[in-house]
Amino acid sequence: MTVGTSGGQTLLERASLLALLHGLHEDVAKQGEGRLVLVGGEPGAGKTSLVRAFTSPLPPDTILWGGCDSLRTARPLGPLFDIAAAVGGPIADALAGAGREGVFSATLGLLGGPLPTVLVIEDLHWADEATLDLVSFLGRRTAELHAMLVLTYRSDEVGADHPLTLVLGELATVGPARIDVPPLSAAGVAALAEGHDIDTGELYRLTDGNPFFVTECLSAGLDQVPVTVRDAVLARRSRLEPGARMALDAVAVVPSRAELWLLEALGASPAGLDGCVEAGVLVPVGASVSFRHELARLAVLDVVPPARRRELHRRAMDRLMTPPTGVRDHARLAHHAAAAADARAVAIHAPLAADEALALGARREATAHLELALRHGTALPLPVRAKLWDRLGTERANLAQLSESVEAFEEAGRLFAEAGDEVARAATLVRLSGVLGTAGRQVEAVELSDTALEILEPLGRTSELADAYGQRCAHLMLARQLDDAERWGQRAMALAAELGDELTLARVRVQSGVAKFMSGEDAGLTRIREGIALAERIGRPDLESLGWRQLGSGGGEIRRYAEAVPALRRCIEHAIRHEMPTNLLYASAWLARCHLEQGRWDDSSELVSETLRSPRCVGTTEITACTVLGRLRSRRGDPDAWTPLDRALELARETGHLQRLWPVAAARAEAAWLEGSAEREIDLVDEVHALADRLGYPWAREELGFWLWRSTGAAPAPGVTPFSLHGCGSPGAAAEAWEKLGCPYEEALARADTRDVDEVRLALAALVALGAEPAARLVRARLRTFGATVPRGPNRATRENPGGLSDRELDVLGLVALGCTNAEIGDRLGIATKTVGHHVSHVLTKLGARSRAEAVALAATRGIPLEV
Amino acid sequence: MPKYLIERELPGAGALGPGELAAIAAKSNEVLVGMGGRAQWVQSFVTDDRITCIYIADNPESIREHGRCGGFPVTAVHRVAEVIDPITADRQGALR
Repeated sequence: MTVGTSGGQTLLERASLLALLHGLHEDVAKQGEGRLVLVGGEPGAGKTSLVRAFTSPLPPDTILWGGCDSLRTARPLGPLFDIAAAVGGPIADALAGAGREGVFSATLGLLGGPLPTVLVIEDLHWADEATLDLVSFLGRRTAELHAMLVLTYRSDEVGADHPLTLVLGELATVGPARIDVPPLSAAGVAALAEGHDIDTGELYRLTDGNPFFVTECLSAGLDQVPVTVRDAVLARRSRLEPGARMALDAVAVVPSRAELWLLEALGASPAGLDGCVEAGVLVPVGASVSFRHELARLAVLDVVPPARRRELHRRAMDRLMTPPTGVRDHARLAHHAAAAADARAVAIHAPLAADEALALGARREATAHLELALRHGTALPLPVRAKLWDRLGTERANLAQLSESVEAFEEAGRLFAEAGDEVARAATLVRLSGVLGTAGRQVEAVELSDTALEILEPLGRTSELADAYGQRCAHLMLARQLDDAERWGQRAMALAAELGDELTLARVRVQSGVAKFMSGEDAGLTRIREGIALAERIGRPDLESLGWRQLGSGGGEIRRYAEAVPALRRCIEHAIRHEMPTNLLYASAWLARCHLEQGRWDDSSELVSETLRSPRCVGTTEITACTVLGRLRSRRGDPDAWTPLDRALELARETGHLQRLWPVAAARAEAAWLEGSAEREIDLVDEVHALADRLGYPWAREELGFWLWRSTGAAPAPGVTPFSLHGCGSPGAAAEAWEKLGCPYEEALARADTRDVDEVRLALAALVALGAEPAARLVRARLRTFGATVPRGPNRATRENPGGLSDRELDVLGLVALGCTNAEIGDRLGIATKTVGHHVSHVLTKLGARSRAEAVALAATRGIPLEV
Repeated sequence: MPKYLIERELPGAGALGPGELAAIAAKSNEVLVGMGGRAQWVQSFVTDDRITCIYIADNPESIREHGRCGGFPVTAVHRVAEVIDPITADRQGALR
């Protein structure tokens, strides 16, 4: 494509940077492996000039050039539109409606020529969300491409919170070449100023060597150096002919580049534009012109009188209504409408621009357009405003701006009520209730969901009502009230099926299927899979992903690895294919957790480290990943186990959800136990155990009950998981159950608590094989208490256990616990009643008990197994 | 980055010849290059049945990753809290 000249300036002090760029280009050509190049620098440092100088000797058809623009709300995929305008073909077709995936793969198609392609994307600091996604999509595939990806951005504007920082952080792993374009040296400034009658020392001091500022000062032709770049630009403007100055003002109202057909409508004469180009204040770029720098455009725009500026914006808007391309660009229209203070036009174009942005996955831009529409749309009809607020609520929730989302939904609800649209109001309340649930405000969420149901139920069988039932099911599921969740899920599915509402049906099948599966019914599995299949058929990859993700994490939570692990893998593959980084990380963290529990510690460690390295690993994903990492470190005896466990606890506390708090509490209790002070985490375990108990969720209640038993000796309530078998005095049965589930670490720990020395030895071997040094140390100590003098094999008479009791004494105590008399015990064991009496008195002495009942109670609190 | 002391149980380590040790060191270097600076090798002490190493790394997982990729056993990883030597005794820093 055509690239503008670099303004006829010689590039000073850039030879080494140019050589570096050409060297990288040669590497790509020779090795066939693509490179990512990041070009940063302050505004006016000459990033564009450098890249243009680099590409100018290369074959023009191997260069693709696109720029992000400084519209208040950037046009989604703006750089690709630039490229499509230049090359046409499949990329132009894809942009006309192939959706995000189609556009991304069409872009890959551009980068496969025999010669290396150079794809330049300029001014990434202004990029919209879809462009940033494209950049990370291409960046991750750099090595596979026969291309050089050159990205320029203002490094001083990209702070820690800037969305570009996130993307650049992610791309750090592909080893990008970083080029920082520095200011000129004093000698460089002096060289540029040669032939000008100007104090070069003063020029260097005022411009700090900024090349753009320097050339503006030199071109302004003043006797003195202007103090700011703005002064320099305006001095140049004042020296233009009146016709050229008028043209310059017109160009200033058009961000980025201004097409000639548009400028004609703004009254810019061809002669005037030529004058600007000759004077070097504008550069031609194909059939458009642009300022040499955005700084210059802003300086000029600032001095265009307000009334004239508004008039120019109005004319731009009129002309953009019938563009020669035939396709209206609503983002540009909305921009000019807002600047022309035309509220009606903003209200029309901004929501349309939001639709377009959303179709390309630019959620942040969609939100900004909706906000713009509402700011200017105070005179819009009530129902229109209500709908805009409602959409804004949804988009903000998708961006995880929860409290802002709540505000938008509340406003929408109020306006719908005012407009008398009860069904719409209730539907908004259902969505609001979902957001409140996510924000951890369960009580309010359920109340609102009640209100919505009260409104909707008398109004007939509607999709909104089905959604409300589904939302109620989701709340109960999140709170792990699984039976109730199933009841509401059934209602929602019946109604959605009756109405033929497939979207609602797919969503509710997934949500309620998970609840059913987690409460132990395999019918839930079939239901989730049906939901996923339906989502695929109606073209909703987001719901499909939700299905795999829920099946994977829900199945993992109840240790059904045969179902959970393949689902998580599917979720990861699907997320890579559909560019869903959040679900990708969530599923990776869960897969790491499953690997840990299945004894695949190396796999788990690798996956969890990779997950945590991503800057997008936040929220619930970070809780899961930190918990896994903390458990891995504490089980291996590696240093720093508490750093991730502290972070996980901090984040889990913010959610207040059992499903987040329980694994952290258990992990901390375990880590403390391995360090020899199990009681240290007791308050936390107690608190979360109470929550689990209230909700009656077995896996949480029993794992935490198990740790209470470990740290205090308090016998846990009987239950259904191996944790309670272990805590209730049947470690052997627990070990078998763990083996069936496929959890070797828990299995070994249970085996180590049995009274059979061979079993304990087996447990020790298993722990050593896992690399579980701290637990192995505890088991070795226990083996020693059995006594080295004790021969192995059937003669276990004098072996000791942690209570200091012999095996025979333990047998006696087991029968005492059953309420047997000494005579009955003697019969059962084939020994004299009198001998039984001796054993019983030894037991009482060793335990410090005054009665048989007290002995049994003390044995239970000290974790002495009572088996017969 | 923190410093770590790594214990590697390797029966017969003390009997390894110079060629074998060179091969082990080369393998280790190769793995470290692939890790892009997340782990750096300072030195190792070879004794009868064990090699004890000093590494600088971003976290214990990187130490284990290096062991896994190179096939070196990792028996235990300890974070080095402090390094002391005879000079530590003289807190004023003046040698006598």
